[in-house]
Amino acid sequence: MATDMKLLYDTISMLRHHIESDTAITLDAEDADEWMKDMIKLLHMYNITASRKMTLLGCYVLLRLAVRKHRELALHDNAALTRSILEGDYLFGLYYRFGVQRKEWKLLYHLAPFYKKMQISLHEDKPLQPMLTELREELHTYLEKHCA
Amino acid sequence: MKLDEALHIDLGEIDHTLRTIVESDPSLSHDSDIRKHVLRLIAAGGKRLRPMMVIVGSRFGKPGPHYKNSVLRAAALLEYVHTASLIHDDIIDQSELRRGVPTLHAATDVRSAVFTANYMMARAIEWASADASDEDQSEMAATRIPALASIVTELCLGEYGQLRDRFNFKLSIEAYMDKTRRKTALLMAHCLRAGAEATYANPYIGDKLFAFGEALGMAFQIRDDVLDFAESNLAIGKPTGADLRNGIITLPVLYAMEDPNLASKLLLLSQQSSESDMDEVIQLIKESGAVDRASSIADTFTLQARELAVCLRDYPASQDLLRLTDYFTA
Repeated sequence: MATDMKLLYDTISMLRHHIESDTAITLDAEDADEWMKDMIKLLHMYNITASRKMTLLGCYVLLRLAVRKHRELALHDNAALTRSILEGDYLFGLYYRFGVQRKEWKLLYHLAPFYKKMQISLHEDKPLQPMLTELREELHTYLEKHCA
Repeated sequence: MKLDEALHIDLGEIDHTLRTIVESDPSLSHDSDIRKHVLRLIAAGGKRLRPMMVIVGSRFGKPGPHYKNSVLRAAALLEYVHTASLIHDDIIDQSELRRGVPTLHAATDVRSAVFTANYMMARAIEWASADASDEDQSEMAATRIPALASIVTELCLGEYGQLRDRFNFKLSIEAYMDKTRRKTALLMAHCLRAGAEATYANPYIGDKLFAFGEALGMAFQIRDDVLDFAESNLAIGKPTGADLRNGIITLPVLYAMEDPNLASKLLLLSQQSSESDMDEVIQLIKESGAVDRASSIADTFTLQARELAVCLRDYPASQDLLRLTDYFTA
């Protein structure tokens, strides 16, 4: 099945409206990796509205990006380091603000323990792939519980 | 009298709660580095102003069994958010010391400090959400904790503003006020309202408390900006005018810019300026009326906070608001 790029474009467009211009954070649908495409396919397995799919995908995008910003710290360039820390923090806060505004707070509760464990793993410099697999499983569990 | 005593708040209970959050985390082993870092930060102490504000806010609500659950949970969550944001600020500002103690990144390394701070935020949200995720909760109750977590965006926007406007002497007063509101005042405002919401206070009262906290936070930050020009800073190893030396534009500096002679000297300052050039300008700012003018603006915000406290005089806890105001202006 081809990836529904319209869902991705619509979600990215919506997120751009939520990101304040002061941050200079840019989102690009062209950056979508296989994990993102897999998430879109997963969402299409459930009979939920397009708007809700955008919310769930939006939360996923924000969380992934927040983690990426903090994982890729430029330790020897203070300006870049500052930007990464602030962008990661901002995206994490936005994930919560977006989830509340779009009434998907149960997802926020569901993912809170996982996100914490992810920070412990990142602190221990563990590889990212297993964490992304687990994130997918957590979202799958959430969809089964609340959207099936 | 200390603030906690004046407010009849048990700081020991707050610290115990802060420790419990990390000590009760089943995801951390007893000898984990994160656990040690967080416990060290808690042991280093702090004024615990934000948790105290949450508790004061809670006194405007309905009495009941909310204290242990909702109030202390919100209080501890907001203190964790505050501490985590300070860890990241210290990295950004390249600060080696905080209250005379090495900052976390100085004591460990940047990566460790970044993820310890992230862990603190994530764990506090998880811990504070323990009851809030119940299925049968009202929307307002269910969204309280995630909404508090989203305050991080405001703190970041304040920091973005400060970084963007380093050595920007043409910064408007309005932009300065906006940055100050986001960086300092809004968290205090949210603390008071979170306490009120946790005890089901009338939303109108919650809004009044929010406005009080915002005014008090503005007064607090502007007074801090004014104190930056005080000689007493030397006693704690901080040079007079440390903010200006770091390019942080504060209200006394903006008022000083209204004097054409001072403005011409200020506009020459940059990250590359010598200590003696900085010393000269800082001395001129101190001799101008700029610091006093900024101080009078802090007084205006304090007065605004007092008036809001008086509006709530039907509540005995309004006396606690006045105590907070007295503490912040002492």
